[in-house]
Amino acid sequence: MITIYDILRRPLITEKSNYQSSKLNQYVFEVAQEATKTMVKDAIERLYEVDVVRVNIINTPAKRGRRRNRRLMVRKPGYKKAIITLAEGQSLDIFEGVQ
Amino acid sequence: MKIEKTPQDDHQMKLVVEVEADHMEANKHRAARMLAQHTKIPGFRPGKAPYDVIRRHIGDDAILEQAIDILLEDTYPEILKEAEIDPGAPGSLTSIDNLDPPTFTFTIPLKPTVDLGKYRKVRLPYKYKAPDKARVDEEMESLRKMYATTETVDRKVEFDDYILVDVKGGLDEEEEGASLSEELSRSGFAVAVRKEDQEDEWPFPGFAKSLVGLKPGDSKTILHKFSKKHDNEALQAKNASFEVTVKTVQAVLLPPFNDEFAKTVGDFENLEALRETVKQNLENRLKSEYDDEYYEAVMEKIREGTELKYPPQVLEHEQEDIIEDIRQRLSQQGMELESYLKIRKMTMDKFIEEEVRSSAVKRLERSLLMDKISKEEEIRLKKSDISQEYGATLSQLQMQGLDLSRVKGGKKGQQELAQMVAAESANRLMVRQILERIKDIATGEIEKAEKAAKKEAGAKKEAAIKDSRAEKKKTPEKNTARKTTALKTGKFGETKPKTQNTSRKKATKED
Repeated sequence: MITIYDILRRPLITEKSNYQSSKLNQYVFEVAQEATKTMVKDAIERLYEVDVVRVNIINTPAKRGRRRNRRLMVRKPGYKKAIITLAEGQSLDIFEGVQ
Repeated sequence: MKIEKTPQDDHQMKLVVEVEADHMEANKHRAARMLAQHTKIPGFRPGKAPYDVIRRHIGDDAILEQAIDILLEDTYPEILKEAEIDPGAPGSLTSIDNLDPPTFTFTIPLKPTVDLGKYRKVRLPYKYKAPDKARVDEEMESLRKMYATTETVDRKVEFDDYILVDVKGGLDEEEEGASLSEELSRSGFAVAVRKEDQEDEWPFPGFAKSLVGLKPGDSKTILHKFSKKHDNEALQAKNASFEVTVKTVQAVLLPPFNDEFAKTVGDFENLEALRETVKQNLENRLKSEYDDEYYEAVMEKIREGTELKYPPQVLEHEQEDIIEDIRQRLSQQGMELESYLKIRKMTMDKFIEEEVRSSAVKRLERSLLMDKISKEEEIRLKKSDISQEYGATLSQLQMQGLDLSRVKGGKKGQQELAQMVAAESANRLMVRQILERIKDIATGEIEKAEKAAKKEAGAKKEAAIKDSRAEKKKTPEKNTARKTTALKTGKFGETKPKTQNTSRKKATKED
């Protein structure tokens, strides 16, 4: 049985997500493969005590590539990404730098 | 910015500087951005990560360190300006006392100060005497000896002869085998018989003298007791006997003094011309020798009355200069300083301590003194003088086989060379003028001249004042930077820096 504590894997902090969180009030997480929009919404609202307006989910595909010499195959696993839009005026602390 | 000044004994200034906290914060951001340019933060292009992300990634300490660097770089000139300090060498950050608010302690070496004192009162008579006739004769005689020839003769040995001898020597009480007797024996050994004892004569001083009166083919046994201080320990205070056989006697033939001789020596028409040249050379040599001595003495006297203050860094810098000079000298002889020191069984520290330091002190003090005197006396170079000197130096170089068109580095190289020559000539000229002025001061000429000028001025006061003012305006500004560097290399009237000479001397001693 999957619980809300298993849903959120880690926050994604990149240039893009940084822009989204600072300008659009959207926060990006990597989530479990079996997570759904509702599950993510529940998890965020319960864990951080904020109101979620919308959740977008993207399945980022796995990537294959050859590295170093041309023989070595490297596989980068795919993951499920959730973009969570919060109600205006609310924020998630974990994106706000070191505490 | 708060600055607290505390002067120190060794001519340095201690500064405690407190910088505003805002300033620090801004610098931290700048530092973070600079650091981010070179660090890879996943998810961000280089330099695009926000401050917080950078902080998380590389840590506060790294940012702080960089921020302090930036802060110091920026505010150091400001600090100097605000503290009204004229540094003589780069200052150093001694400690960071506090971060909130940021407080730093600097130690800044001050510019050397020179108080010339009553240098104008220094008197030393200039007592150069032209060489008299006897001295010239002596010189001529030695020239004659240089051109002497030898001839084998069949007569008794006399003074000033060259003889070939076989020597068989040995100690009276032989102790350790035949090694010593081998050392004391030589065959076909050439001896110059002189009236005076020579210190380095083999096998002992006065050996050749005892051979006077022998004929070729004659033998003689000489007994000798070595002195207690003989270089070879095995020979100290030992009795030795030498069996000497004279093989040939060669008499020295001095060429006769006539016009013929003058022609063989050089391109001289007659004896009179040769004598004139010899006299001239001798005079020049003696004069420059005396000048060296004289200036040295005067400078020493001036130095006594002055107060020099300089921080240790300046001296260190001078030492480095000297070592660099020595290194260059040595490399011209195909040697490295390290191996040179090894030969002399010295370490770098000891070398600096024993040899470099004293000459560095001397050189530094001299250059400070001369610099100050030139300022005080308002010695300025005239453009025409410089260009004249420049021409002279250049033609001298060309005589030594320098071809301007074949200088390495094309046009740029030529320019560099030209600049070097120009600096060198200006330098030399400056040194010469300063020395001349010093001489005038020390001999009292200046005072006389000034008194005379005063008298004159008294007669036509106003006109003179106007004139002198106009004159002052006309004199061109001199580049002081060049002057100071120029003075450093100055040895009296000579082009070569002092250390070059000493190092050469040292090198030859080693040989």
